[in-house]
Amino acid sequence: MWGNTRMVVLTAICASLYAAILIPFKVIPLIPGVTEFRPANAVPIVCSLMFGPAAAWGSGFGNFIGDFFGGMGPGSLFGFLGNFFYGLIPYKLWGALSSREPVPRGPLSWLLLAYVILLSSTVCGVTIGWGLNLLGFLPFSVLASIIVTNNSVVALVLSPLLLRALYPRVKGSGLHYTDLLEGRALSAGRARLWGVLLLSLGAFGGLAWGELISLGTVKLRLIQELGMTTATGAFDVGLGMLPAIALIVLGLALL
Amino acid sequence: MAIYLYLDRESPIHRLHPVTKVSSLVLLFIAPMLVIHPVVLFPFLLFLLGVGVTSGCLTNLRRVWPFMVTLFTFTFLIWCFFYGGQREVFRLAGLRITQESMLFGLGMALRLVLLFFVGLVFLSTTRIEELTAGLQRLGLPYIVGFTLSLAFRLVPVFMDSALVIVQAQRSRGLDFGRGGPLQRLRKYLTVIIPVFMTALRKADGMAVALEARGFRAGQERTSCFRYSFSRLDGLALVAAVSFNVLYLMLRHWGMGLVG
Repeated sequence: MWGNTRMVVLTAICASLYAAILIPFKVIPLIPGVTEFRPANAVPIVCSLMFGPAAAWGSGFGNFIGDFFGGMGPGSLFGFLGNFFYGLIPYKLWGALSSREPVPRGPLSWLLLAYVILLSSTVCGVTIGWGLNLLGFLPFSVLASIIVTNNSVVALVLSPLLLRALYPRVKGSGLHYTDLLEGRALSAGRARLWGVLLLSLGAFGGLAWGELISLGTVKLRLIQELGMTTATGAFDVGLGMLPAIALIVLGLALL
Repeated sequence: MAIYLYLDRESPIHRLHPVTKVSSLVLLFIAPMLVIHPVVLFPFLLFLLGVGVTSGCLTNLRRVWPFMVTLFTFTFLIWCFFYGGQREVFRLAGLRITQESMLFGLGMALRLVLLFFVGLVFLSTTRIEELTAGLQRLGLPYIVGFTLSLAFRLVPVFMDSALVIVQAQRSRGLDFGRGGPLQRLRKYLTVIIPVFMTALRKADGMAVALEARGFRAGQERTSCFRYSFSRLDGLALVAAVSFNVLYLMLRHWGMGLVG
């Protein structure tokens, strides 16, 4: 991707668009210093389905730039990672599940787009929630659910309409990632379906598992035996969720 | 429109080498993560205030203080409810507030405010060129640094065009504050779509302009910015490392933690 000048420019454009819409809404925080009401959350989904990997890097950079305006800290690293996944998953998942254009026209494409949005939002929420609980800043149970809801609601409302308006124009102008990368952005064959399965398991399973650990419903014996239990649950959530994070990474590698 | 926090001053902190600035930022992010007791974190706050005064960036505090107060209050309250503890002070809606939870909440709130303050000092004293130069010297590939810096530069362009579009839509009678939450959310489409279209129009032209100037020509890149290390850089790094060593030692001796 980095060898293509247009993809480099599109990465910068995705990042700046994301940041430009994020920054004005920094004044409406949901969790001060961590997250806010974000109408910009539709941008990574829409950009991903149009610009592919450029949107993944763009979402990570865009969130980082947004942090520059207020709230930069060690958590920005996980913010980058979560948003990178948020921009990476949609085009990979859509490519694995459908050969049609990602513009919702019938019930099946609506359902598929909703699943893409929900899964991407969940991976983003799980990654950031896991990271910030690992750092001991905020409980996973508070953060992950807010991010998942915030991302998915905004994206579900705005993405279909944005895609309808923008996708044909992008395709027509030759800036679609498949035109620029000549199909090199997606894995081939059965591996992709395994990827979808592992990714879904890691995301939805990870969200449920993380909530259970974070709320103290599930106690991890290994952490207790090692004497690593803390009030923030940093090690419980940090180590307990590693299998889910590993599934997500493996699923993404196969997609 | 000034959206970034950078303040153009002639201070010793501004003159630091970009590598020192980025390294100190990372080190100063780590230090308050090692301890949580508010009393132990207090000297770090004094140190940051000193750096803030030296760099002349305390004026930026005026821009962000409501945010810092909200951050502090919210973090304090959330950990008061979520942290356990033995010595109960009172109960609220079935949740126990203990002496330990209040102390921990105070420490965590102070920690987050300190981390925010470290970021604020960095952003007030570091230009985007310095950030990318520092990251590149620390191993970030040139192309990634270039993309990041291009993105930084485009943000005000797109924000300005969004503001113009908002005003144009308002003059046509569109009221962004009217209707239910979903209706209001959908009204943002009338801004997002034109901003997107402006961006798309720029994309191709920018790529052509870059290639015409030899971008990705495979030659070694040069820069008009020259940075050199000075004694000040050594001092800054020693100060940043010292806090980490001090807090690590305190932690090792079982101090600086709560509960």
